[in-house]
Parts: sequence; C-alpha cells; structure tokens
Amino acid sequence: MVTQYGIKYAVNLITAHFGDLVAKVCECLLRKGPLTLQAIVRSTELTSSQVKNSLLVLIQHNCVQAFILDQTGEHGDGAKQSTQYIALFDNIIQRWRFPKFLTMVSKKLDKQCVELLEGLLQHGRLTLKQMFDRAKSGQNGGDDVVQEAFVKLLNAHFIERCPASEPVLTNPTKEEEAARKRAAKSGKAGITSIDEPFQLQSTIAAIHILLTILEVQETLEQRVVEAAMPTEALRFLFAAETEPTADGGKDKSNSSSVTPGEKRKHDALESEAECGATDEQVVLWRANFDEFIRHLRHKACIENVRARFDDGAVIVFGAMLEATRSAEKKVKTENSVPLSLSSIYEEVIKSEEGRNITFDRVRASLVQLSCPPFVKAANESYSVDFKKIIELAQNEEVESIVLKRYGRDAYRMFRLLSNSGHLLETDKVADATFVEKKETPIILYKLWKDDYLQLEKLQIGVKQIPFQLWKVNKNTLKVHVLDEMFHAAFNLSQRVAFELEQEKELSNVLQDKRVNRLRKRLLLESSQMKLDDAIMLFHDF
Amino acid sequence: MAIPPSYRCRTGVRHATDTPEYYKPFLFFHSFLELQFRVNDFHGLVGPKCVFSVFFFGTIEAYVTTMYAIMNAKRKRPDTVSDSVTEQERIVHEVIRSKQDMGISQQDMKREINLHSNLIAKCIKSLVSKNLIKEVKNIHSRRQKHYMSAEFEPSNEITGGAWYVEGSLDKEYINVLKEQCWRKIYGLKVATLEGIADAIKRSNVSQIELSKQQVEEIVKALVLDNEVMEVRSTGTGEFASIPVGKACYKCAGKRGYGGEPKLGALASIPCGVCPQISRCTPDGIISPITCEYYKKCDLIISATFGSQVLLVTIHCSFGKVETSENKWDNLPLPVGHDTNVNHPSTTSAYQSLQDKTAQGILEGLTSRARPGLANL
Repeated sequence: MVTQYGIKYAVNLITAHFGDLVAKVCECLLRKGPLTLQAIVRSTELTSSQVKNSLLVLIQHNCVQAFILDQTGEHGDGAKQSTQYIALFDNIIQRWRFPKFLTMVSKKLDKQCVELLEGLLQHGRLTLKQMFDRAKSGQNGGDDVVQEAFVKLLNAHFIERCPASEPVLTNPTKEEEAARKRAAKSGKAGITSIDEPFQLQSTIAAIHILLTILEVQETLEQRVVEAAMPTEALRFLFAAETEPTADGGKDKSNSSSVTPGEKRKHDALESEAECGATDEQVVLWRANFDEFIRHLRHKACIENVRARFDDGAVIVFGAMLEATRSAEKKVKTENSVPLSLSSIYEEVIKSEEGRNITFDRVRASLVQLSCPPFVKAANESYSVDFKKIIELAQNEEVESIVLKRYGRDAYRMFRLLSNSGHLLETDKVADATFVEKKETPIILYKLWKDDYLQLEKLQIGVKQIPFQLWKVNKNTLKVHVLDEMFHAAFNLSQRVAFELEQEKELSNVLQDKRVNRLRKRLLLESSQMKLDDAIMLFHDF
Repeated sequence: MAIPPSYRCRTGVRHATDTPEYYKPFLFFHSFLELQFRVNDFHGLVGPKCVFSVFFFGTIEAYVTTMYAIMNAKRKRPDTVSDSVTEQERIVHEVIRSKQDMGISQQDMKREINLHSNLIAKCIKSLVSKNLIKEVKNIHSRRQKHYMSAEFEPSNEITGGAWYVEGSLDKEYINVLKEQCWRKIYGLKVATLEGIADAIKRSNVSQIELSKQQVEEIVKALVLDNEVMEVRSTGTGEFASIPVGKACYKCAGKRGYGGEPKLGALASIPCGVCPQISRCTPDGIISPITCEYYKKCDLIISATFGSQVLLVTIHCSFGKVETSENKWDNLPLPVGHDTNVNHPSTTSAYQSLQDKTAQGILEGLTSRARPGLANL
C-alpha cells in the first residue's frame, strides 16, 4: 500500500543510497505510476541520459521493473507496444531491512553465506562469476567455498533468479478494468495522482479515493511482477552446467537442483532460454525478499504467541510453522497447510527445546492455542490461522496508539467500537465504557478529528438534536495508521541524519559528549528497526 | 379559585363537613383566630406565613382559605392540583407533570411556557415547598436544576442508572467491583457470567446485591480494558464443565490486574504519541530537526531483534511525564554495535553505498552483463 508518507519515506531511502537524481526519477514513477522513458524525461525535466542512467541503477537494484504493454488498438488499429517502467514500492522499502536479512542468515547459516548475501544486497544482482570475483578480491574464500555458500542460500530460498527484464503484458484484465472504472468514478474531480486526494479537506474522503486509485495501480504492479517472475521450477534452479565458473570450465559434479528429474530440468532450461534471460548464458541472481519476509512474518507470529501462552505452546507453534513453511505459496498466506497431531509431534521433538515434550503435552498445547483461535482444528488436523494472528497484532498496535495518545477512557471506547463493528450511539458508548455522559462526546470527537473513528448523524424530528453514531472502519483506519507509521519512520530517518551531522561536528569535543551522541543515534536507529517491524505488520504481512 | 367552606366562628363552632385536617387546630382558638389569607389582589403570593391574628366578637363569618398545609400534611389527591395553587403554579405544575419520569429543567420550562422566568422560579419554589414537585439530579446537565412531579421516580436516563450517585458516576465502586470480578475469574481460570455472579455474591463484596445484568456490565468493561477476554466454550480441556458454545471469560495475557498492555512500536516513540504529527514536515516550524520532544526526551527504547535485546526503552517527557531511572549515562551500548553484521543499524554493511553516487554505481554496472537493459 503506497501512501503519501510512504512515498516520502521510499524517496528518502533512495536519496540516501543513490543520490538526488535517481531519487527524482523514482519519485516521479511512484507518484505518477508507470511511465515511458519520454514521459519520465518530460515530468522530471532531466536529460534523457540522466533518466536512462537512473533507471539502470533502479532496475539493477530491483526498485523498478520494465515491461512492455501490448495495447490492442481501437477501431481496428494495429497493436501498440511501448516499454514502460513501474516503481516497485515493496522492494524499495525492503532496503531498510537488509541488516535484518543479514542477521537472519547469520543465525540460520554461516558466515560465508552472510558475506555472499551482503554482496547481492549491495549490488542488487550478480552473476555467479561476479560473486566469485568479489570473494577473491575480498579474500573471502575460494570458489568452492563461495559455491557451497551459494547452494546453501539457494536451498533455503534466500536467493533467486532475477525476473525477466521486459515481460509483455496484454490488455488489462476484467478486475483491472473494474478497478479503473471505480477510480474514474471517484476521480470525477480530476484526481489522477496519489498526491491529489490528500489536498481534499476530508482525510477520510481522501483515503477512500486513494484506496481506489491504488487498487488500479496495485493490480497492474502485481501483474507486472508476476509476468516477470520466473516459473517456480526455474526460480531456484541452479544448473551448474550452464553457469560458467571462474576458470571458464563446466563443473558437472556440483549441480544442484530443486526439481527432481532431468527432463523437467531440461524443460526449465529451455523455458529460461525463451525468457531471454540466458541470451548470453549468464544468469543473474538476487536476494529473494519474499522468503525473508516470510521468515519475519513467522517470527512476529511466534512473538505474539509467546506474549499470550507458555513455552510449551510456543515450541509447538514454532514447530508447526517450520513444518509448513516450504508449502506456503505466497507470503500473505491466510492459513497454513493442515498437519496431523503425529506430524506436529514429530516436528516438535526434532528441536532441542522440544525434545522432552510428550505427545499429550503437544495435544494440550494445541487446545490452548485454539483460544484465541491461533490454531484451527478440523478433521483431526491442525492449521495455523495467520490472518487472525496478524489481525490481533494490528489491533493491539492501533489500540496502543489510542491508549498513549488519548488515555484509558478513549482506549475502552475505541475497543468497544472496534469489536462491535457497527454504529453505536454516544450514550450507549458511555454506558458500556463507564465514562461520564458529558465527557464521552468530547473524547469521541477527539478520536474522530484525528480520523480514528467515523461519525454519522441521525436526525429524528425537525426540532430534536440529531443522534451521533460512531464506528471504526478498519480498512480506512489501517491505511491511516500505516501512513502515520511511514511519517514517523521518515521523521526518525531525518532525525538520525541530523544526529550524524551533529556527531561529525563534535569530533573535536570531549569523548563523553561524543559517546552520548553515539548512544542517542544508535537508540534512534534501534527504534527505526522496531517501527519497521510494525510497518511490516501493516504492509507486508 | 374555590373557597373552602366557611365557618361561623363564635363560641360555638360549626365544623364544615369536609374540613381538612389542618383546619382543626383553628377550632380550639376561639378568641384569636389565626387566619391565613391568600391575597389575590396583589401580584403574587403573600407567603405561607402570612398570619393574621384577629379578634372577633360576636358572630363571625370568616372565609378561610389556606394555601399551605400548616402541619405539613400531605395532600393525596394526585389527579388535581390543590385548589390553593395559583393559576401560574397550576400551569407550571401541569408542564412538569407532563414530562413524567423525565422531568424538565427551568430553562426548558421557559421555552414551553410563556411566562417570565422570575415568575416561573417563584412558582417552582412554591410548588417545591408544597411537595407537589421535587428537584432531581440530571447527569446530562448537572449544573441546571431539574424538576419532576412528586408522584414520579426519576428514570435511568436522567439518573444514569445503578452506577450513578448524585448525578456522578461512582467510579470508585465500579473499580472495586471490576478488580473483584477479575480476581474471581483469575481464581476460576475460566468462568461463565453465572459463575462470576455467584462468586461475587458469596464473597459479599458489594453490600447491594448485584443483578446478573450489572455483573455482565462489569465483566464487559473488563473485556474492554483488555484484562479479560471473552471466549466460547469448546466443551473440552479447560472448558470441559461448560456447555459447548457458551460465552465464558478468562484472564487475558500474562500480566496481573491493572498492568499496562504491551506498548506498540509507534506508541513507543515521540512521533507516535505526538498531537502535532499531522503538521510535522521536514521544512516546517514543527519538524523532526526542531522537535522539542526529541530534544527533551530521555530515550530508552525497548526493542528486541532476534535474540539481541537492545536493553533500552523510550520514554518521552512531554504530555504524561514518565520518569526514568535509566539516564543516558548509565545505558550500556547495544550488543554488537561495532559489528557490521550483527548490529541492526542502517549504517552496517552499507556505509559504502551511502557514499556512492548514481554515476559511481553506473560505472560499476557498465562493466557487467546487462541482459535486457540494452534497450535503455
């Protein structure tokens, strides 16, 4: 979901990593959607070569995807093909999480894997030969060591083949057309870009229109990403026969493939050739952000379980996630693959902390985990309800903001309206939350003014004062909170940059002051990391 | 106004057949006749204590009318106002009575009756002293006086119900009940409403017997406080003794009663609780660089990243002041902060990237194979 401050945050990241020129091109694509090269040149008022170079950088670092839009002409005209470029917002904000990815790999694998991944994250995409060269120049081990680390990362799905450079998209799908029509209806005032809705006076109205516009853009972005993605068989395929090694020879003994059977491998290689990715027998590899996000999602779910249940339940839950991770087809899976009790038990006793857990204890933990329904039982098999866990975590995050910002009474009111899911009258809210009837509307107005609640007035009779009805709209609230998080993240990054500048100026000052400054900056960066966890909860999970 | 039956006041007194009770004391005083006159000719009432002592000789015919009960005798004729009230009082009383158990304020009365506010006030005073109306508390407008006809009891809508005393919410009583209910639920592990109500009743926490509805209101308030969660019985495990599908309650989380819920990420930083966040911009008067909260706050962040506990918690000194014993000087540096790999810092491993310009990166790109980018 791309919000106003989401764009600012993403542009800030690109500026910090690649400079102002690249950031300008990126911002143009984020605000205006997919554009051709000429359109970008016109919008940014940069030279053609500047825009071209910036796009090269962004594509190299997986922040932009090129695609060819095949538009069937109207009135019998010939088909038009134009190369357009679309900014991949999700990939841009992943750049903030690179340290988390490295930490994850350092725990699961070894140091060589971390160094290999570090190179991929630094350079965006590399061939195997380039990885060997980099390792040699950094004296990080020979080719065997690098290849071994490469295979480990590949088997864990932490790296993948790069997508096709320019996939072809045909006419928009029905969903896209429907979304486009809805956007057109909402945009009758001429709103075409993401910025414009926020110029409206009513933020809720702005968010509604924004959601509709984003629906169109997200549908296209999804199509582009899916079209560019290699097939599942090819994505993690490492056929050493086609990879030139450092000495230029071919090493057949080191082949590793995730697809059983030579025929299927052969077919995959053929299709790879069709994609054009191996025109020069060179395969580009990059970090697989989806897998990292999946791991982080599981980690967040485990932490949620840990906050509510005992260690036994946490171990059982963790085992279920471990057993079903590889079967997940997409990151935002709503439910895990069902497992039988015996399968869960086998997985539990594999781990060190679960070695001594009995079968009955596993069964009891599963019963525990059903309330709240983190684990669903059906036909003697159990599956994890990710959607419920994520939803509860999101609710807790928002309720925490309400509690800290508006107080305990507002917290109760917000929870009442959020749980009920429908309109409630002011006095009903006061009665249910044990707040004075005179104070209740004041608190509700504050929440409404800051867009945490919706208000509707019901007039009965001409002379009577209208009834005020209140409600929490979770969809619009989620977008609003996410935008606030991006705003806070943007502010933190600005503040960290400011603190860095101050540190440099204090280089001649006493050690104590410098250490204090350093501590402050590190703490700010740590809070950035924690806030990023919350952003993932609302945006990526 | 009807004039009560007259007396022939002489040494022999003739009683009127329908003499009200409060007339009777008069009958013992032959010489001095205390009369209460209502003077209609004047503007308003003379007052309840207007007593004239009159000496009468001979046969006296005196028309005695009384406006106020001498001995505070209650008039039990609800259907009609006493004959001793004035026309204005009658009108005021009718308006008040028409509101039944909702009553009406003086301000609202003025809108409904076309009388001067002073006159209304006097009528009200007179009616109150005659016990025809009474003053009640209205929780919706505590400063204004609210009046109701004497025969009605105020409705819950204006008293607020069982939880209100003297027009104010009895928060202390409610908090005591909430804590006791929580303790019962904690003791029972899983409890139904009936179980909680029984436990409360047996423990004599409340001197007033609580209805099931009142217990439910308290328990639902605990749910809203996130102290307790409502679940449905599955009939197995800890729900074995509870019918399947029945609503029951158990304590939420691992913290004790009254503990703060877990602090969210956004709420733990200044921006998350700042009332001015919507006005904060990089170049504005309110900006991250000029932010007073960042300048003043003692930052202690509690964050966990994997197994690394960064040993710090953020408190902010604006708004609700939270003091912290862990000042800057005493804070240990985060674990592994010097190690690029382990420290979750944005500067780790990417310092070189931050220094690179697009041109520098491009030079690196041109030396590598770029399938598909040749069209650019």
